[in-house]
Amino acid sequence: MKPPPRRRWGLRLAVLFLVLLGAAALAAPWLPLADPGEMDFGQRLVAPQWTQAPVLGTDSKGRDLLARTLWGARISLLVGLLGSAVALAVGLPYGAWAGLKGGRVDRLLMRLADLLEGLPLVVVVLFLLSILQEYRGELEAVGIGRIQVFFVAVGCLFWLPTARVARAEALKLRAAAFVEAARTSGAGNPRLLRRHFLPNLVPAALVMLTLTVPRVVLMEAFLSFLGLGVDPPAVSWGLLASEGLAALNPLVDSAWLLGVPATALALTLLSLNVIGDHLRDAA
Amino acid sequence: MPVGPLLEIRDLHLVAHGAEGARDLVRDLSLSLQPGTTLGMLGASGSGKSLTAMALLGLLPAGVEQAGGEIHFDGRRIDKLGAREWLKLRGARIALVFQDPLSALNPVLRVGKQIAEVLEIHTALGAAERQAEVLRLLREVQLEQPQVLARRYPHQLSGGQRQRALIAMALAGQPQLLIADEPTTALDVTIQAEILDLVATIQRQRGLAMIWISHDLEVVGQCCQRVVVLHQGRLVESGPVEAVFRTPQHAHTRALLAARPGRTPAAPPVVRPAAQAVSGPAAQTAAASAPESTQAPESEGAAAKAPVLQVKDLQVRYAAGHDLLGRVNSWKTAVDHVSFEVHAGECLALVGESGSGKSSTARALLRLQPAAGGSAHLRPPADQAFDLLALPERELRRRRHHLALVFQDPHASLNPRMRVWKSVAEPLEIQRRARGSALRERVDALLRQVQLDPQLGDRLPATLSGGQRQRVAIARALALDPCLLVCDEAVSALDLEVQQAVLELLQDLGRKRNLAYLFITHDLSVVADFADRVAVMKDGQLVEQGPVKSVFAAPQHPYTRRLLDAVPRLPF
Repeated sequence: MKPPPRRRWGLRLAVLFLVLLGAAALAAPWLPLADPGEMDFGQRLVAPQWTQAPVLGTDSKGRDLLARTLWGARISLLVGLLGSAVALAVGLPYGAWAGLKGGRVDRLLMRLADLLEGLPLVVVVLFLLSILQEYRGELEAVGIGRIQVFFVAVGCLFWLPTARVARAEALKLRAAAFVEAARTSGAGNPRLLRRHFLPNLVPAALVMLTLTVPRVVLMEAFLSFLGLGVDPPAVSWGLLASEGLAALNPLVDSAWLLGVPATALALTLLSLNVIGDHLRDAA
Repeated sequence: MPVGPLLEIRDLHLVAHGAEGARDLVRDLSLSLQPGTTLGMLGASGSGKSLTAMALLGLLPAGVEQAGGEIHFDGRRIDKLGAREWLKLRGARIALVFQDPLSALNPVLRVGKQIAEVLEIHTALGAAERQAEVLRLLREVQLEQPQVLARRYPHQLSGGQRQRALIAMALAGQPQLLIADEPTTALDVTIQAEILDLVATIQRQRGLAMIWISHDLEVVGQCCQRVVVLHQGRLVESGPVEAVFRTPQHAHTRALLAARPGRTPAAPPVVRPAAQAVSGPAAQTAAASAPESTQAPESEGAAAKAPVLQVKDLQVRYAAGHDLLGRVNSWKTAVDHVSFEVHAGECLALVGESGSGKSSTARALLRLQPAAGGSAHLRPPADQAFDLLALPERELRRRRHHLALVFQDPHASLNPRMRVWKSVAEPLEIQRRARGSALRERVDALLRQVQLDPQLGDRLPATLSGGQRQRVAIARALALDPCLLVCDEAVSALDLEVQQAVLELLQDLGRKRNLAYLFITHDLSVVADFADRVAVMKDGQLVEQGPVKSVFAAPQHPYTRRLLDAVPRLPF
């Protein structure tokens, strides 16, 4: 029995927003935008014009805020998606394996997860950054910068909730008749994981994806805001918000510098959460 | 003395609104019910019987709507009532008894409290009077020690006790109409017999009108005066039970009656000579009847070869408690020194009530569950004999394909995300028997063997019917040419007609492939139709085994006799 069709305008709006934002971010290099890094000191701190350039105003160095926000979306969304992919790639097999094996293996894996849960992310990032600082030359030679460090940190910590969800689902699957049927025809654990567990974890994984992306985006914004994230001249929303905050002072009105990236971030997170809620209800 | 009908349904029309538009679920359904009588509602799953019941309670699920028709109860039209008026009617005048008593009771509230809640809503009784009334109701449903039971939580009760508590709850509001939706389907047959008795007594005492929804013809035949038969949302036949059952008019009713298992051998038990009563302990009886079982195949002219499966002293136990370090310190025995044999081309039925250890036996043989002791020698015709229980894991994975399992629930036994043909192909892939187009050909051949169109192979399990899924599960079980097929309640979840067809298929395959069956079931009428020999389990022990005909005609163990007596039969 299907539930009656609900009013889904919230879901539609969320999807529409993300699709438009994603398309604009992807197409940013080809859109008729100003160069996000080009300074124009004649055009400093112009308030948003809305209908004509600069649409969203300029910052204290005369750079176009619309261009910077869209270029920032590229980094923020990319980091969010890649970070979540890392979290899922680690968390799903980890949790599924724990649930599949059960018993001692399960207890060991989950206690290890508890242990990691106790580490604050900022501490991990600071630790990794200090290593980066120490061996900057060598690491940058092999292409490891702050962004990569961030992915490692996310990979270390953000997979934990995913692993727990995957384990709970796997425990249910372990007793499922079709899993036992496969076992009785001689299937080993790796095969069970690949053919029966992971495909059946897809709905849960989708829900976890929509819930992890916002957490990663937010974490990147937070770290960039603290100055621990992306390196200028690259821009992300967190960096923009940080600059916007720095530019605030009682003499010059520049609230849009904080407001625009913060709004973009808030709307993105809200949209992802709305979609995640709907997916969870449907799963 | 016909007064006006208590309940009258006229042209009920229920529709579901789905993505693909409105779909009729119940169409042009009319019936009436006199006070004090019981109406049976028969039909396969999906025929609309439960939905009709829900309409009578104003509890149609979301997405289902009443598109037409009228429902009159006690001279009043009730299908247009508001939510507030329904509250006064539901539970007080019309009450419902559910199929699954465990999920119908709130697990965190004591049973007495849950019954008192109904009284609180529908009566003006004070707290002390409510308490007294709860105890009176528990006595009325013939529960012993009502004071103790009232303070228990649902999970502390047995299935039968729970169903009684649920009936007490339904009676609490002094209803005039009781709707029972498959109330005994989840129960063991001996408990079902007790509940049927109880309901009949209560109905007589209270003059209740009842609607008894069931797919079980015998149950309906026993407890109802009139019956309606539903088929795909339409009422195809109605009338007095005896007339409908004796001279069914509609083709569907006839098919339903014809699909009834065990019409022949479960006939009234012959008068048993008192001398045959056996009073010895269970194990002795099992031992005593063992020689009998080895004679059976000989007498039927089968070759007296070594059995395909020989189980000796099988034991299975579950951890019941752990100490502080997580080590098991107490065990519960599920299977206690069980021994039996199955020969090629033969079907041994393992029967017993829930908790008797029959499923644990099967699971241990398939090594889905470790055995605590004993041996189980399998002698495949094309391989060396080996002990299923002693094989190391790696060796086992190469050789366990000699026996296969068919599960009860056809919905759970197929991976919902795998195309059907992939599920059937999996055992062949694992044992590296075929690949590529040869693999697909073998799968198609298997699907044809279970009388399925190979084109179904490209579908997902969700688009198949229960019977089709069970056929797919059988095809998968046969993929590796096992010599023994273990069927764990393999037809219990199917509608009667489908059940009949699947049993015929199994019988046919057994003959063609000279398969041995270990057929686990609680349904004695299926045993009578399908099995050659039967082994009866109780509390983990085998209390009796022998050829079906002789066990059913002259059961030796008192428990077997109780089990056979409890099977509902048509009173005419």
